[in-house]
Amino acid sequence: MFLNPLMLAGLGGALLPLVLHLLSRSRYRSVDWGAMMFLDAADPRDRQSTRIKQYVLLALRMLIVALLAVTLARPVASRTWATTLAPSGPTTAVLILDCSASMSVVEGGRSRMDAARDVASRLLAVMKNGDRVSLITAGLPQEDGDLVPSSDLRTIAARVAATRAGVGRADMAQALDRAAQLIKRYGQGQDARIFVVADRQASSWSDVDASFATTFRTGWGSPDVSGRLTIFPVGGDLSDNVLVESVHIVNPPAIKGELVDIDVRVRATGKSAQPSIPVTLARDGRPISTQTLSLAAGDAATARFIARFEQLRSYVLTASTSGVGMPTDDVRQTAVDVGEPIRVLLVSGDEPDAVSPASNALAESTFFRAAVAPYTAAGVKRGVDPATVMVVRAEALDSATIARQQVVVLANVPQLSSEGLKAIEQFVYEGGGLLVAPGGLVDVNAYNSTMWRDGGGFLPAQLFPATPAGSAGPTTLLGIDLTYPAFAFLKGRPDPIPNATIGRYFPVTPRQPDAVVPATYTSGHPFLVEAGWGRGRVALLTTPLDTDWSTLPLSGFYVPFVQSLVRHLSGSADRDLAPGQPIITMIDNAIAGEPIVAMPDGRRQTPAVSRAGGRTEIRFDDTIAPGLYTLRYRVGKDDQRIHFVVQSPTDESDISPMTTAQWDELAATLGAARLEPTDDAIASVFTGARHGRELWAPLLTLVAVLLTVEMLLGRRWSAGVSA
Amino acid sequence: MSYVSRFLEPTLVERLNHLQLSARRVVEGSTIGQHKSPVKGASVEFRQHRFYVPGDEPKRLDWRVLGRTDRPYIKEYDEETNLRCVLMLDGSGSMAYGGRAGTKFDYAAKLIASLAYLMLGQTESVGMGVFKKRVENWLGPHSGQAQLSRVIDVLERSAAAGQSSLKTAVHEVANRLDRRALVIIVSDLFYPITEVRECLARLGHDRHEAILLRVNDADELEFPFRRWSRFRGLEGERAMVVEPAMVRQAYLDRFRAHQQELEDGVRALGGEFHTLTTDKPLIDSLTYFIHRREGGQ
Repeated sequence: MFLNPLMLAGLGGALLPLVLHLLSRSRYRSVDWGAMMFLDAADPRDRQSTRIKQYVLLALRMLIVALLAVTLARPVASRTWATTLAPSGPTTAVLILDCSASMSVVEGGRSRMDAARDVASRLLAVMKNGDRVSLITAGLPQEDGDLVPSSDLRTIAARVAATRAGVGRADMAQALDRAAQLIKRYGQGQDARIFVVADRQASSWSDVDASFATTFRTGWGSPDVSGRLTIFPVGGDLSDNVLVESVHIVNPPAIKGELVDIDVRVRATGKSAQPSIPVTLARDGRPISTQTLSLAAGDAATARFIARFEQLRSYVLTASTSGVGMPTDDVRQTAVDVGEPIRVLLVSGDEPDAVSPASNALAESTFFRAAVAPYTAAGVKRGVDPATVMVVRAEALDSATIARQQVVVLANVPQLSSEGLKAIEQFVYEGGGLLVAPGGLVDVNAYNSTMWRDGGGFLPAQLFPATPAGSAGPTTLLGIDLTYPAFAFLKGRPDPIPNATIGRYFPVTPRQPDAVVPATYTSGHPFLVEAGWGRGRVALLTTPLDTDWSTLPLSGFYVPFVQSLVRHLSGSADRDLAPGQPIITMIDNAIAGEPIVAMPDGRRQTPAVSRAGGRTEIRFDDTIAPGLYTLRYRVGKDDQRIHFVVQSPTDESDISPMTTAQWDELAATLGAARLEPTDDAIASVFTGARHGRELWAPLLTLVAVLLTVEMLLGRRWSAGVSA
Repeated sequence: MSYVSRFLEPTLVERLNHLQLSARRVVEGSTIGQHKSPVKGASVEFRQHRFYVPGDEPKRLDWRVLGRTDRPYIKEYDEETNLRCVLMLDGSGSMAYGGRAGTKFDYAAKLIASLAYLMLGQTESVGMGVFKKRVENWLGPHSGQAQLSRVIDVLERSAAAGQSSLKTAVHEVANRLDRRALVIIVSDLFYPITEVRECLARLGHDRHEAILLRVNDADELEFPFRRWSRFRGLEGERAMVVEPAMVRQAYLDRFRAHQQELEDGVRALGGEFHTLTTDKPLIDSLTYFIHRREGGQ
């Protein structure tokens, strides 16, 4: 076996001394010589001896050149005679197989995963009976059974053959660390080896640096890992990739019958621009429309789609693009729960007579209703309102009233009764959304004592008396965080700052550290403060919802802002999950029978169910694998279905390959050998590993010895030749 | 006839003149030091006066000249020359080899000319022969400057080529000599040891004194070749294609063994043996040779 068989071509160089010998003989010079008796007087035995010496030297020189060529070819002792010469015990090996998403890339009609499986199979094929192998599938959920070294190489080979490229990233640092621990645990005192079969993706090795190498060697149990870690890179150097980075509803939740904006963000990685990338959005597998994006290298662009959802159920939106680069990130899904309009309870402190818009045309409820239920407020049925609004006076607030609401608004409520306060607290704690919009009727001290409670209450900020009218001068909004969901509608607008004047407001001190301030006045005081409390959210608007203190309701900012804020506070369930994030859903009614979760790989599992107070919580934890999970349960006779999507990380989508310098640095850092997976390399490296070392060192020594012998013989047989 | 030629250039002659005094010992060292002179100073015919040098017998002073001029002169007679010297030059093909310093034959010829000049300058009789398979261009021993011209003339007409036989040449020369003589053989001596020993034995039997001056090229001593080479024998031997590095050690071993056997064999038979290499200046080699002769007394 030779690691560098090309160098065997140097065997032809062994003929060089012979050619030179023949050339020298054929190109001799003539000398007219007198002392022939001393040349010619040699007896036949002397002549024969001289001829033999010449042939011996010639053979030595040819042998030296040939041995040098063989040495450069890096021979490895074959198993047979290596075993004879140096019998050794079994090998304990850890095989790290890259199963990340990038392994699904197809090059030359063959996927990288196919190539990796082939290399791993060949590696297993050259192992002998008694050798033990652990299998680490980097990028896939690790099967614990694969970690225990097994001498059943056929089973290991079958496992390798069954592996598929996942959708996640391969963390080689983690895999190596795990391999080192396995070696330390199972391979002490044996011929321990780690083999890595992976593509050339640079990001897989991003966490492998000098500090990791130190830890790795320590974990291995031996500072000298040189020659015992071998990396077989597979696949090519493809670096261009187009991925769907995200797909999401612009302003959730989706309301039945309402037109919904959906953004699909697409990115091009690598070195090439992608001038014409089709992006298709499908709803439950049926295409909605297709758009075309032009992407510069490394750039991203967003395609906006509009869709209407007509049924009250869970939908799956699928965004897909062309097959440039890695196929697994060409598709991304999101789950959308479509519901009824948001149920909003507005508790008004400024309703003089009855809950009637006509009696108080300029009350907070009037503006608010017009904003979140414009069709109802206008008495027309041309469209779907995002919310239904029920208005109650503050003193009428109780737990019965608040039940089944999604959002409660405290609009200029002077102070809450104790019953109302408890109802609000319970409502928010259980996941409801609360908007507090104080006004001129508010008792600041009562708010602070009952809702703020020195930071222990649900109010996200401590209130201070409102700025006096006219003294400080009108102000306006300045700092707006467009990443805050309620302000997302401002994205892309040339002037997102509303043209409105705020005459008075309540200075506040937000609760630290959890409260966020997504918008401030020019004066620097917060316009909006939000913080979570229990399972719900509480937003504090520091100026009223009506026109008493500001002109906000009269600006074009007001309606989308209030709608977005209500949508945000409604706490629509996010059905998109990170890998490993559990599926948790609360169902108001008791369910019949056992719920079922259909997993991305087709398996069906039963989630955990707990019941309390007539409500049912369903929890499912096995969400490591990205993809679509569908929860099915029955309420009464109705079958319910909720989709969840575990999103795959996008860091795997950069498939840029390692450079030669990066490979060299990696090999030097880890003390690893990187070998292209030829048959010879696989066989010889393993054999070399089992039996200690390659043969180049003794061969080189032999070459040196032969050189010395040649020089000594040459000098002896031609002693005293002047230079 | 002028004796100035490529074998006896004026600069060499000038240097040789400085060796005149010592050169006498070349002859005396062998004739007086080891063997009694058969003539014992018989004065038959006056030849010339010569200035006294330390070592001369006082009785040979010309007291008459001393009384008139107050200067010590020695009277010399022709019959006082008690030695014949024969110079034998190897003219075989192997002597034609030469590296950067010139051929061995040229070097040996210059050596022959120089010795002749020196000894004739001491009124000795000098004969000479160039031998290959046989002795060619034989000059019988004679004294006088005319003999030097004849020697140089012979050298000018000679060239190294073909095979040679030292044994045949020595026997031939010995047969020609009717009186004992000093025989100086200048050769690369690429002959079997037995042949050399046989030659020395023959000369010793005839009571001749023998001096072997071996002339080699530095290449023959070091065999410095590196590339594959085809060695073609200068005396018609079979050509050989060899890798020099592979045969060098064996060559040197054989060469040195031959050299050692030569030295041992020559000395065992009462002769003298000296090795000269062509990369050394001739005058230095000659000086070295003469001083070794002096040291031998």
